[in-house]
Amino acid sequence: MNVSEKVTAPLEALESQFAALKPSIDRFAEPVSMYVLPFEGDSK
Amino acid sequence: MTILEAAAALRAKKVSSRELTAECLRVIDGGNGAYNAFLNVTGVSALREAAAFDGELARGIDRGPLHGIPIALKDLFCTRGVATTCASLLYKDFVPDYDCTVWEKLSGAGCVMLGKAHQHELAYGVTSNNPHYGPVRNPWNVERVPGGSSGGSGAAVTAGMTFMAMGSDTGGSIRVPAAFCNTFGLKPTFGRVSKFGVLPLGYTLDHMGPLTRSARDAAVCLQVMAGRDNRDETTSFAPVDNYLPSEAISLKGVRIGVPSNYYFDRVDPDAANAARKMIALAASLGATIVDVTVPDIAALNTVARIILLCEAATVLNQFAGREHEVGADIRVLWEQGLLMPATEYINAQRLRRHFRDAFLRVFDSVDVLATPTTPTGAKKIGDPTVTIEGVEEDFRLATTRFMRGINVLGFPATSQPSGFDGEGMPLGLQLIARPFAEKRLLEVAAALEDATDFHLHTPPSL
Repeated sequence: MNVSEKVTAPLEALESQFAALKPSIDRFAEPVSMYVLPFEGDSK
Repeated sequence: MTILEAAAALRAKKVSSRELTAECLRVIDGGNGAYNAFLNVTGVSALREAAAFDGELARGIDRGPLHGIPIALKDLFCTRGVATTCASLLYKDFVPDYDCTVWEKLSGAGCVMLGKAHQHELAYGVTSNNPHYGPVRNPWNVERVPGGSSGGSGAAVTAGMTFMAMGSDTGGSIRVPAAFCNTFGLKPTFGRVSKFGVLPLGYTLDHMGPLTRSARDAAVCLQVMAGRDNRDETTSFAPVDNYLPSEAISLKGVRIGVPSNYYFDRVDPDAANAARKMIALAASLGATIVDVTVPDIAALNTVARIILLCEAATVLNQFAGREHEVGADIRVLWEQGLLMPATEYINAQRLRRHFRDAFLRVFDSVDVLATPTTPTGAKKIGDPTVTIEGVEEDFRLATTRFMRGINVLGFPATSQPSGFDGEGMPLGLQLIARPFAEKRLLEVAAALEDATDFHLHTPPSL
C-alpha cells in the first residue's frame, strides 16, 4: 500500500493525543471484555 | 403535517394513505432534482402498499399510529428486492433477499416505503457530498450541506417529501442532519433498536433512529422499533417504555445539566445563544438548571475515532482491492484504520468503560444534559474546513465534536430545532440522557418543542 502523508499525518496526531491518555489506561487493572458492549450486564 | 396529525386525519377519513403517499411522491418528484435526497423512489409499490393499508382501515384493522404513514429509509437498511447501495459503488449491485429488523417492524406497523434516502458514502462522513451520486443539497440553502451521514433523510423530512426518514448514527449521523435541516433526530441507547440487516460502519458505535418533524413523532417510531432482537445479540432485554409524551408536560422537578466545560467552547455565538435560550426556556417551564463539569470530551472523542477507524477498516476490508472505487475521504480513513495498532483499539475499548462510568456519575445529579448539537450551522458544499473564533478546523471533526463521544458511551441523545444562525441556517439543541431514559429525554424535548415554533419553520423556497 502506498501510504501518503495525507494518511499518516492525521493518524500520528491522533495517536499522539491517545498517548496522553495512556496513564489513565494503565491505572486500570480490572478485567474487561474485548468489546465493551455498553450495557450487556445491566439489562439482561 | 406530523405523523400524529396524519394518523388522526386517516382515522377521521379526511385523507387516505394513498393520498398521503401520492402527495409525498409529488413533492419528491418536484424537489429531488434540486435536493438529491432520494437515491431510489419506490413509487409503484408505495401506492400499492398504501391502498392495502387503506383497505385494512376500512375493514376495521388498525395497526396503530404508523398505519398508512409514508416513510423513507437511509440506503443502508436492507430491504428485500430493493437495491441497498450505502451510496457506494461497493454495494451498487446489492439487492438484499431479506428485510432488516427495523423495516420488518415499521412495515408491520403499517408504514409505506417511499424509497431509499441518499447519504454520505458508506455513512462515513458528515457532508453527504457523494462523489458517485452527487451531493445531497440542504433545502434551506442548496449551496449548503445537509449534514450527514443521513443527509438525504434530513433533507427529505424538512422538504416535506416524507413524514419520517430512518437514519443511522455512528458519530453524529442522525443528529448532524437533524440540526442542519431543522428536523428532530433521535439516537436511541445502544442496544435499544436492532441493527440486524443494516450495513455496518462501526460495530460497537452504530445506532439506528428516526428523523421526524416532532419529538412525539420520533416517540411513536421508537415505540415500534425498540426491543430485543435475537438476530442482534447487542440488543437489550430492558423493558420498552411507553415513549409518547403526554399532551401537557411539566418540567417541574426535571434537572437539566448544562456543561460548564467543553460544550460552549469555540462555538459560533449564534449556536451557543440558541442553546442557552432553550435552556432558559426550560427553566421558565419549571426545570432546575444545574451547572455540571463533564468528563474529558476531547479524550472521549479520541477514543471514538480510534475505535471507528479500526471497526470501519474491518468492515471495508471485505472489499480489499477495490479501494479505487471509494471517494478520497473514505480511502484515507480506510488506510488509517489499517495502520492503527490492535493495542490502541483494545486500549480504547478499555477506556470506554472508564468514561461510561464517569458519565453515569454525572447523571446522579441531572436527568438530561443540554448542549448545542453542532458548533455552527451548515456550511458550503465542498468546504473541507470551518473557521470558528478564528481557529480553522477540519469540518468533519468540528461538526461532530459534541456528538461523537456520546456514541462511545451508547447513551441516548436527541437534536431538535433551536433557532437559526445569522445566515438563516437552522441550529440544533442536543439533549443527552442516561441509558434507556428515552422516555424522559423525549418528554423534555417535547416540552421545549411545545413552547417554541422553530420546528414549524420550513425552508424559504418551499
